[in-house]
This record gives sequence, structure tokens and C-alpha cells, in this order.
Amino acid sequence: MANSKKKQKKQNNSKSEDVKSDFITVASHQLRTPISAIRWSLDTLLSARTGKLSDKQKEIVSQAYQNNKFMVKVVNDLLRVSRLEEKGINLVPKFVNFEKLVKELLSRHKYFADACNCKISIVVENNLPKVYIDPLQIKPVINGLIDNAIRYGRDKGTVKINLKKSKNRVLFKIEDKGIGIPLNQKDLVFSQFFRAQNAMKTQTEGLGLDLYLAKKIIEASGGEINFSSVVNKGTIFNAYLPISKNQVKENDDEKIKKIVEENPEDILKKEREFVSITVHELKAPLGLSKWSLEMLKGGKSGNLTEKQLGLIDQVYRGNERLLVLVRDLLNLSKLQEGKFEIKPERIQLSKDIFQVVDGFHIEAKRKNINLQLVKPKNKLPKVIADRNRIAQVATNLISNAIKYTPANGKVIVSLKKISGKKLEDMSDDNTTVNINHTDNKKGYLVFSVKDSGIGISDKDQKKLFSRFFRSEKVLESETEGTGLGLYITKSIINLHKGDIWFKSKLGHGSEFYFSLPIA
Amino acid sequence: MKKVKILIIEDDKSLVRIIEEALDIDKFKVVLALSADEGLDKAFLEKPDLIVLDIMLPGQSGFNCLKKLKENKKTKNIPVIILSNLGQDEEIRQGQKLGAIDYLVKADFTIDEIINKIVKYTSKKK
Repeated sequence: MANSKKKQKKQNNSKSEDVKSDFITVASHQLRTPISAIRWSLDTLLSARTGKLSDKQKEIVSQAYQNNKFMVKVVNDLLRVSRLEEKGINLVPKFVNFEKLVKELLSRHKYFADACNCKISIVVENNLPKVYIDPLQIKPVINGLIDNAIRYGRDKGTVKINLKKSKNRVLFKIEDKGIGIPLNQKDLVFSQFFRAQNAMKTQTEGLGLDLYLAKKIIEASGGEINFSSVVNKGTIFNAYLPISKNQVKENDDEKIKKIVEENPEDILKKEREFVSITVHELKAPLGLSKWSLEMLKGGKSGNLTEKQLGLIDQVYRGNERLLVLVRDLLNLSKLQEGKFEIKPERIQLSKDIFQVVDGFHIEAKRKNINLQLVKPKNKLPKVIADRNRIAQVATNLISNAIKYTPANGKVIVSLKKISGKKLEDMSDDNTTVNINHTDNKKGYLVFSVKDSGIGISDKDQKKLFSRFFRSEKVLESETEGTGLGLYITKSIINLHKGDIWFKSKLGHGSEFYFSLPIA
Repeated sequence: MKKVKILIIEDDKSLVRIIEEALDIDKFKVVLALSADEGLDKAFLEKPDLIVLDIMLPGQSGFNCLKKLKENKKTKNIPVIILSNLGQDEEIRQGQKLGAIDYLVKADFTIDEIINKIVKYTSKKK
């Protein structure tokens, strides 16, 4: 065992395996990665480090920046809520200098406050005691309250913050002169957004999760939160935080405070809901960004330096990646809910496949890859399939083959008729060939795409069709991809009562197949 | 004046380029490592003043890397900032427990804020 350690290390080459990851973690990490890349590029553009922007350009970039901030918030909020629902609130309280914590958060809101023409004042009582809280949990709460006060106080100028001792606790009081909360909605203020989904839809910013989370977290921390509000006059929020250990309920029997007890199936269902809500929310800002970026790139709003263009290109690519990811995640959640629809009809598969291959000739030529189509000698029988979905699958597989094949390589696409019996025999031969559907009496049409590309290592082969899988080789080659493509592809083929399989050898290329029952 | 050396362990080169450009080149020198293994080697050889560490890396994770950095006499005193898009409570706590001086979620910080942190943690030492 000991001397195989080195070998083991070498084989352990998929991405950070030792990080525990569930679906939400991976999905949010995947979403955040392009979002943060976009954010930093826009940052750099706005900072004028790479050259000054015209007023028009600045406007477009700022707009994209606001969009991006919204996307960050969507992902963060949903991640926080899903965690809380699933695992409860894990508190690790300690004594904290609250004035310092609040002022630090305020400094991070300066830009936003300036943009909203909002003045923030803070008054701190002398000798304010330390609060006994978990800063990791309380920071986002205070942050959300400040953000709300600025956001909904828009153009009405001032936000007042007051820190003082009250009722044996420390009171964080924040007052805005904003739009206020209508009387009939007051009961809903601390409830979760999807109970008031219609209200959420009419709001452009925020998902209405901040206050829900705030209440849960503050109460779990041994504190209290309330508010008073008058429409068009303003709102005051009061958050009371504990200042001694005995104010926090010792939670030894339930070290992690579980808010909702649920069975695993419900949690899974919720996870899916969260992801699908998130991606729906992301669709709108993504579309907007794409537009404004194309305007910038078009140069109508003024010329750009090479570095600026480089950054805009990066934003553009990040955006494209997010679009693909959002599409894939939506498909995924539909698949999992059994809502993914296929509309099967009798089709001459070869026609559709030839069309897909035709679409790739330009790309293949550009990469100097020899893309061949082996046409069958005789006319092939029809299959029952959803034309668009199968085209999507073929596109995905051929595009992968071209992507992972270096210049001067070869990609060969073919279509053949194979009997169920023969497929059964093939399945026995090889571990990566798992063919479950073999009982169609008329046999199957089998699509295959063979490349002379980088191939797939033995270890990666086992995980190829799992969610979010991307091999390290692929990660190195800087190609875009969400790691969901093959998983979705497999699901689509299985819905057609067909199978998908492959043969591959590292460094010697891969061959991917799928089968569809003959009509 | 000797430049402050920053080792950035991050597999996304474009992000590193953005940080590099935002840093004052008269004061900072950036060394890049694309994986935890490469990062460990470079931390040992280059003796940076600060390490900026991603978590999701090809091969072993940034957490493992951090653990090894802190176990090694030569590298254990180099301050490490985690800069990752993983950012749940458990991960942040794990990072802190392993000895990171700060944990920044990429999507939550502007480039200027990140630069400010880098400046802050490298000027403290002197």
C-alpha cells in the first residue's frame, strides 16, 4: 500500500476530489466562476487602468456591472437559503467589536450609496459592549439591512444608523426615508420569497430573501428583529443582539439548529427548486449583458484600446459560458423533475445527422481537422425520435470530438443498422459499453463519432456521464464547458429507449456511440 | 527597494492577469502556480511574502495545499489568503481553521478590494 502512494497520487487527477461537494455547492461554484471573472473585468474597465471610457461606454459598462452584482446576489441568496433549509444554522459565537464590524460593512457600501445619492450617518453610544455573535452569520444580515435601506430609500437622501445598549442587548437601528412597506404586506416581510413569488417578479432588484434570513439568523443567535414603517415616509429596522454567553441558548443537544425537519427526498426536491429558480432569475440579466456588450464591441459608442477589448472579450466569454450553464442547468432540473419533454416522430435519422455534420465543416476547416461522414450504402430505416433533441445530442458529441482533437486530426461520423442481439454481445465485451436496450425486434440505428483526439483516461472513463464531470485534461486545454453536456445527452438518449457508450484510450482518441430503436 | 512577492495559486490564468495588472508593478512581483502541487513547490523555492490560494484546483484542493504549507517549517509563516468561489460557512471555517488569514469569495469582492487586502497583509509584516 505504502509504495503505491506515488502512483495513487498520479492517478488522482480529477478536480479537487478531496473537497466535499453536493449539487448546490457545485452548481453555485460553477455559476460564480464566470460571474466573478466578469465582475473583475468590468471592474478593471471602470477603473480606467486600461484607458479612459467615453460617457456612453461608461454607462454601458456600469449597467453590465449592476447586472453582474444582481447575479452575484441571486446566487448568494439562494445558496444561503438552501443551506439554512437543509442544514440549519451552525453558530460559532464569540465576542465581537460591533462598531468595527458595522463600519467595515459601511465602507463597502460607499460606492453604492454615492451612486444612489444617499448619505449615511452613524451614531455609536459610548462604551458600547461587545456583542456575542457569530460574525460569519451576522455580517451578511447587517449587510442586507444596510443594502435595503440604501436601495429603498433611493433619492430621499439619508440613512441613519444608531448603535446603543438596549434591553440588555446591543441595538442596531437603521432608519431610511424611503418608500416604506405597505400595511397589508407587513406580515409578509420576514417570509420566504417563494410564498410571495408574484411580488418578487415585479421587483427588479433583490429576491426578498434578506429579511427572511435576517430573522432566522438573528433569532437563532439569541436576538430579535422588528420594524416599523410608514409608506412614503420610511422604515426603521431594529436588530437586538446578545452581549453575554447566557443569552445564547446553549445548543448542545442540537448543536446545529435545524429549522425544518425534512426527509431526504424533500431536500432533493428543494435543491432542484432552488437551482431552477436561480437560473430563471439569471436569464434576464444575462440577456441584457449580452446586448450591451455587443454594442460596446461594435465600437459605436467609441473606440477602445487593445486591453479594453481584451477585457470586454473576457466578459463576453464569461457571459456565453453562463448562458450555456443556465441552459444546461435548466435542462437538468427539467430532467430530474421528469418534465423534460420529447416529441417523438418517425424520422429519417440520416438526413438530420447529415445536416448536423454539414454545420461543422467550417469549424473543422478552421481547426484544420478532417471531418468525414461515412454515408451508408443502402437507405436506412426510420427511427422514432425527437428530431431536435437528437440533433442536439449529435451536435454535442461532434462538437466535443472536434474540440478535443488537435490540428491535423480526424473526426469520422457514421450511421449503421445493428441488431439487438449484436448490441447485446458488444455490451459484454467492454466495461465502458453498457447497453441496456436490446429488445427492439427491428434492431437499432447506431450513430458513432470517432476522433483522433486526446482520449480519456481509465479513471475519467468511469465518471464521464456524471453531473459536472470535467476531466483535468479538458480543464487544462482551456475549453469551455459546463460538465453537464454528457450527462444531459445520456438522459436524452435514455428517454428515447436508446443507449450511449464510448470506447477510448488516452492519447489515442475516443469513439462515442448512441443507439435509437428502429420504428 | 525589494519588491513584495505574491504567489498566486489559481488555475484560471485570466483572473491572475487581472490581479497582476491591478497591482503596482513597482512594488509587487507576481508568481503564478496553476495547481496545488506547483504552488507547494513555488512556495518552497520562491519564499513569497504572501500566498493567494484558490480551492478548486486541478489535482489536490487548496485546502490540502494550505494544510501542507502550514505543516512545513519553511512555509508555515507565510500568510495565506484564500480566494475562491466556494464560500459556504463550512468552507470558510475550514479555511480559517487551517490557518488562512482571510477568506475572500471571488464573486463578493471587487478587484480593488482584493488589491487592498493584498496590500494590507503585506505591509503588516514590516
